[in-house]
Amino acid sequence: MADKEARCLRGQAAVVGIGATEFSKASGRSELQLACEAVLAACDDAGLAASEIDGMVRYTQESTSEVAMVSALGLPNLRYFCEVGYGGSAHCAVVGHAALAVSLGLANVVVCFRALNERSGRRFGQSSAGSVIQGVGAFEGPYGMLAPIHKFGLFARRHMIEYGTTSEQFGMVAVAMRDCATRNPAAMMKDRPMTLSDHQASRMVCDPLRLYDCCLESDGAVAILVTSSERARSLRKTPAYIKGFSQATGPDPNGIIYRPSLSVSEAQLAARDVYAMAGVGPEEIDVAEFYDHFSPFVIFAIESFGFCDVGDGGRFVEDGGIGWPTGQLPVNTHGGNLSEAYIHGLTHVAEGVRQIRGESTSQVQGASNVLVGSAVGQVSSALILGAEWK
Amino acid sequence: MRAEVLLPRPAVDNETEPYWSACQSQELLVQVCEICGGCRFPPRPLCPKCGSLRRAWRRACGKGVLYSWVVVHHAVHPGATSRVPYILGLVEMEEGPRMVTGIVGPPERLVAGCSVVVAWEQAEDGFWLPVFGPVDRARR
Repeated sequence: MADKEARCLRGQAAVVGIGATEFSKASGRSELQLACEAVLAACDDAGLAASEIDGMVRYTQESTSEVAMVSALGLPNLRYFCEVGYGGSAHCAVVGHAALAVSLGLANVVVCFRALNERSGRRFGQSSAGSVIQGVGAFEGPYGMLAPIHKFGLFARRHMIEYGTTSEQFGMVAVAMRDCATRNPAAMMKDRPMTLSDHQASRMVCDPLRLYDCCLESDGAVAILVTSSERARSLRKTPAYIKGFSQATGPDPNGIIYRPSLSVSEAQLAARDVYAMAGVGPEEIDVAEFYDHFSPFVIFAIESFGFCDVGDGGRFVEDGGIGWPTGQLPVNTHGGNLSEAYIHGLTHVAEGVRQIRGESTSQVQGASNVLVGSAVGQVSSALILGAEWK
Repeated sequence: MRAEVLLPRPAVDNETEPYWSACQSQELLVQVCEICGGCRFPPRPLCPKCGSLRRAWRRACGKGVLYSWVVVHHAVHPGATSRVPYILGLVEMEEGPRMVTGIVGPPERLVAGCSVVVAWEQAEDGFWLPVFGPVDRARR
């Protein structure tokens, strides 16, 4: 349970700038350049000079270092920098740690970024394993368990077994994401509408997951600028106040698939803590941006963050619950990893900020509390952004 | 003639050497806590139940039930190209923990909770791996 001190962070910091490059299959430039372009775009969005950046929070999977960024951007000094574990699951956590640094006075303007040449460079869906494999993977790689989908497919199967969730329900997640992408000029799939029949006709990659259950592979970068709520009020754009954030591993996360149950997510723990810090519950959330590396994990997130009972997520989707604009909880209004771009979730944070500002291409009218979260299956993080600071 | 690319082989260290050595004699071991008797997989230094460092290996009975599985249709590694489609499973061993393994037999026969038993598969380089297959109902 988030304690009294954790609740004191509520509303202390805000996202004041978001920036991104274009999303493509081949950027034609280095990840360092992509990262710098996104940071400069975020500074421009906020109306802040890059030289004011004095803090940086990275993903451990980020290959562009702090020092490379400081030199490339010509920053005078970083007085706070750290990194948060892993890839996609870190997207809310990097922003949360930035808020922590700002609220404690360790830095004034903290930037979070993720830059990837994932499609034209190292593809996460391909194995780069050599002839010998280390760690927990030593017990998996020799069988050919070498890609994330091999593990996350086991979760999807287990959800189907225990709750009767269907491939069609996974497809309805993908279709809802695609629908939002067709309104988003930045989305890689903006010109590619998709029906449930298209989903069902797509090839099995790793049964029960089809091609259109999988996220895109993208080149691009996203940056998020965080400063104090007090400073935020004098900047260019409407602040998106950080009302709560949380992280959760749950028990036995090493190797992802050895946890006690593959039909519920560790995100239940992240949900408990983020709601406690923000002082709101699921009934006050207007729109959600859920990490969708594979379509079933939107269903896991709907359940974990309390929008329906565990096991009912498939039916929630089937009943139109996540569609824009009429669903009970519009989800991934940018198109998500499935249909906008796959930049390890910072796209989801950026979209949450756009919803608070009223700038989304699938805007939820009057959105005042936005949940950004993940129910990844390994570790999770969550963020509640608000139009009001408390 | 071009040698076929193999799937990766396990890195073997102090913690895991007994397991992989036993596999080469087609013997399946499971790590057990000498204090509380709890079994665990994959191997690790401390008992996750009682925290003890005292551990040993014991022979697993080789029986279990299928917890979840996927059928891999798309090869992500050159060593998997000639194997697709293949089945990866999580088997709940009779001793308690779940292990990743290959599943032999047609996917149509698989249902959640079905009984499986260990079999042994030898790769082209002679390396033995424990795999599991459904228990044949007719012969049971």
